[in-house]
Amino acid sequence: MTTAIPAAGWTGALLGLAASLVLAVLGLRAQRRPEAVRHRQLRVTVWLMLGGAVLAMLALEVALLTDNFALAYVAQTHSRSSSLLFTLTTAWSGLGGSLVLWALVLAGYTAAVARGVTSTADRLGTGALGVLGLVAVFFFGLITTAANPFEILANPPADGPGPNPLLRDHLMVAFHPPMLYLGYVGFTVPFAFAMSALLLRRGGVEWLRRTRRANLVAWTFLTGGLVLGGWWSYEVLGWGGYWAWDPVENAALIPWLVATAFIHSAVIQVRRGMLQAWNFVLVLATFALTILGTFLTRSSVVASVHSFSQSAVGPALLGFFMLVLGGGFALFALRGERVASLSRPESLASREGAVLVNNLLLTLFAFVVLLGTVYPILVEAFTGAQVSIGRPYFDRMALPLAFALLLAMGVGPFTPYRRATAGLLWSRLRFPLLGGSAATATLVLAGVRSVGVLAVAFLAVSMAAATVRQVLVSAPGRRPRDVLRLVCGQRDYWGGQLAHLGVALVAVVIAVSGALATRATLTLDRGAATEFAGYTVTFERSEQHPGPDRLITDAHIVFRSGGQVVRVDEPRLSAFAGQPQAVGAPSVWTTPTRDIYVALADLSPQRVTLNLYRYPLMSWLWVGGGLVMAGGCWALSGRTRRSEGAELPAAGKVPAHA
Amino acid sequence: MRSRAVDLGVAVAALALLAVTALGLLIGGPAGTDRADELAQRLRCPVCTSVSIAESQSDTAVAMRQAVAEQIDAGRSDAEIIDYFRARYGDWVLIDPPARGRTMLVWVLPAVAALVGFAVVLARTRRTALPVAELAVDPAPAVLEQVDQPAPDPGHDRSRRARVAAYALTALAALVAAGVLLPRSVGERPAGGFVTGNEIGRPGPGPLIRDPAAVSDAELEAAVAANPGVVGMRLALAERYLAQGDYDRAGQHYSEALRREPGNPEAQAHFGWLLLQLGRPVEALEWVDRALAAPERPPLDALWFRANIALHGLDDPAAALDALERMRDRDDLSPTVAQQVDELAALARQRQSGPEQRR
Repeated sequence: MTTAIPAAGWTGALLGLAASLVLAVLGLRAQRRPEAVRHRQLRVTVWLMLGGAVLAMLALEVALLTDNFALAYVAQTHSRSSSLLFTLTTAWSGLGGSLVLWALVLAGYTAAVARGVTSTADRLGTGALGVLGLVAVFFFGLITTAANPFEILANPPADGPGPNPLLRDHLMVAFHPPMLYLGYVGFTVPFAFAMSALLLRRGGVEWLRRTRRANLVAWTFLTGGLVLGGWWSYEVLGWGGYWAWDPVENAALIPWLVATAFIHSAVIQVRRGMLQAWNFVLVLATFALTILGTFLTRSSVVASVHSFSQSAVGPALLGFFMLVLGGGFALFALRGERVASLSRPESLASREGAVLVNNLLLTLFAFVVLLGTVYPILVEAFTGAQVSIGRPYFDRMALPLAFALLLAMGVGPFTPYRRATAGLLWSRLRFPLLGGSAATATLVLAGVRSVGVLAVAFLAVSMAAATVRQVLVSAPGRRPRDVLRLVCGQRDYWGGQLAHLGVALVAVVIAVSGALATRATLTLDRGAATEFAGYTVTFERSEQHPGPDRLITDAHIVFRSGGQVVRVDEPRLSAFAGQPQAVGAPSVWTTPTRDIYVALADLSPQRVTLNLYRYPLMSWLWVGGGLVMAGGCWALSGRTRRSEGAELPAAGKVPAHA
Repeated sequence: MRSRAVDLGVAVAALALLAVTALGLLIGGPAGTDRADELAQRLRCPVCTSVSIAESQSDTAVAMRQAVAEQIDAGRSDAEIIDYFRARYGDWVLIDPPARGRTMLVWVLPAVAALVGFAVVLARTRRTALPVAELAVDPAPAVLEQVDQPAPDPGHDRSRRARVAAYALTALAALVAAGVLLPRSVGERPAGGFVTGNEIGRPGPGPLIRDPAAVSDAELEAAVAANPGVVGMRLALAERYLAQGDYDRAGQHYSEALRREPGNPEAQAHFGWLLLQLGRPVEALEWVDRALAAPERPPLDALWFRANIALHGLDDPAAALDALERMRDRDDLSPTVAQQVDELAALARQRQSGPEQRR
């Protein structure tokens, strides 16, 4: 009986592998000779692949829920005492399981693509399915070989150590990884369509239109994954920050930057027919960088909180990365001439010029982050010496790029296509600029002396004012209904603006919380009190709470204002059975104007050492991140303009849907 | 006319407000910065994973922060403090890569990329290739399709082939480089360590604030074992053992350091010093001379060792004076060291003048 579940898992993985192989062959064949493959065959294959992935995932979950320690993965990452939630999330807390999730998400995206391919005459679509199949072969291959979670142990243990303590202490583990995967894996779809278009020697905007949704979905999820990751780090890790430029954080940021560039330049290609070849480069790069990011995460090349363990997956991923990069760019080099656009922007002072600058800045940003992340690895590989590249480098590099991006964001969306005169720009931006300067003057008068905060505030307020102005000017009337109609009409534009506002808010919070933070490290005897940020802080007592799988030791830190108790913070340490390392969890007291962050540095029953931080406006960071995501969702919610109906049947293109 | 007035008014108002901002900044002065924290952010915690000592709560990081604070109080400059840690842990301890040596490229490459990128963008906007296509009122897909598929011509073909060849060569080189070199660095990584500073969960927390020099030997030993390639840190550890008279361990670490970096002058010089302590002055001199023969400017230590070996080990005051003379000529001599040099020189001269009496 104990072997039924592993067997089911195995079956699912093998089924997925076989189906993805067949899909790769059928899809690419159908692209070459549409009449040689029947549409039904493709559909069945895709469903089989999805079924295999679902079966594998289900088997894993069932094995975890039934404490089936005969399964190697369960024995390594599960313990009987884990609660239901963390038992479910354990399915992606280890290497093998996370790859199963990856394959499942990939199969899901493939099924979504297959729904849009209504006949084998759709050569772009069938080719894309073939490429998706190829990618799936790799991941199912990993599951069945190097990182097999379904291996059966001859002598199963009675209980296991449970997942990494950090992965069973916060609800976020149920959201952050799946979201990140939905983002990461989603970029396979644009890649597959781009490859298919190159194979067909067909440029044009069809592949862009058809991948717009997938790309936006992936981008929105990746944005969410990044924001949630930051939130998790802030709420759980207790070092007082949300972004450490950890190699693996960088690995998720780099594809996000490139994908953001692609979203912008895709619009220019669709509108003005420019940047075609560049769009291919961006899509290829985004996908390749997701694989590189996975390699960095999973291979322990970089030591990081995210790396699971050393395994054979690393070399396999590196090989796949090089294959994608080599294969993709070779194909691009061979077919590049066919897809190069011949028209070019007339002037930098135009929408397309602004997007060009935006693309330059974003790719430069991605390059800098990539360089800082892999440089120590390369130096070590070539010279054997170890060097460190950390936060100060990234901060210093990111600062000018971020300001330039904010500036481009403030000007670009309000610039007309083709050519803008200085007079036109001035008339559109004069009142926003006035608003921005009024904001900085107010801040200075209020006592803010940080140049960074003032500069960011100037840019952000100007941008927000320009957006409001744009709404008022282009709305048919001033009533809320008119504004709503406008915003519902052009959802990509206004979704984009919403995302820009979110980014501006994030920038303001990063600047303010960084420059105006208050920090203190305090050691308090029991009952002793001290002052912090206008409050009297007392260490009242420390309590122990045994739980089913952990022992929680907390400290009661009481905040008083004018003698009144206003808050009791309980930062805690959780020690897990079978895990050597205890996990500290800070306590965060959030109000709209500031966060007070209490982290334990040292704790004994009679004495506590605390790291206290006061971050102004901190909670708005998550709101800003949410706005960016909401912008993506808003753009997604609209019907694609010039969708299928407007597509002109040109020579060599797909005939109308069969 | 009216809009001109509005324009002017808005411009003047905006400029006035910005002037208020600038004035406020000038009068108020920039916000004071926390030097200790800034320095701490630039130093890597030796026992954690890629975090600075500002973020880590490990005992080592706490002790290092304390050391930073003390040195600031002692009036040292940022560069001096950074050098202090570099001398003990090697370049590896700088989480903020310096713009020289091995990490130079990290600063140069982005600048180059930015220049090239801007050049390309400018070039692309100035060259207007196909005015006809541009002037099309609406870039309808039909137009795009035509533009997308230009008729291939033979000249194009040749340049294409050349480009393909270039691409292929570059890709091949990259593949070989990555494939051959990367896996070497994959296996040898220390496991464990947290990015979090959560190390406080260990049993039996020690006193939190400790004497700065008291990163214990065991701790440093563990850090060295975890980062075997960081020779600077190993040398710092060996020097401690040497100072404590634990010549066995010091010797082990020096040999290991020399095995890893046979040409490291600091390791050579200190190994020589160790040999002198062991009563083998002839070999000691050999090692120190190797360090002094290094092409780069020899470490002050090496000269000091040479003087001592010559004077105390080989009873050769002339050679000692020669080495001390070279030290005096250096511009990086601190007053304390200069005083020591003078004292030793005086001793050497005394011996030189009266070797007979002494015997």
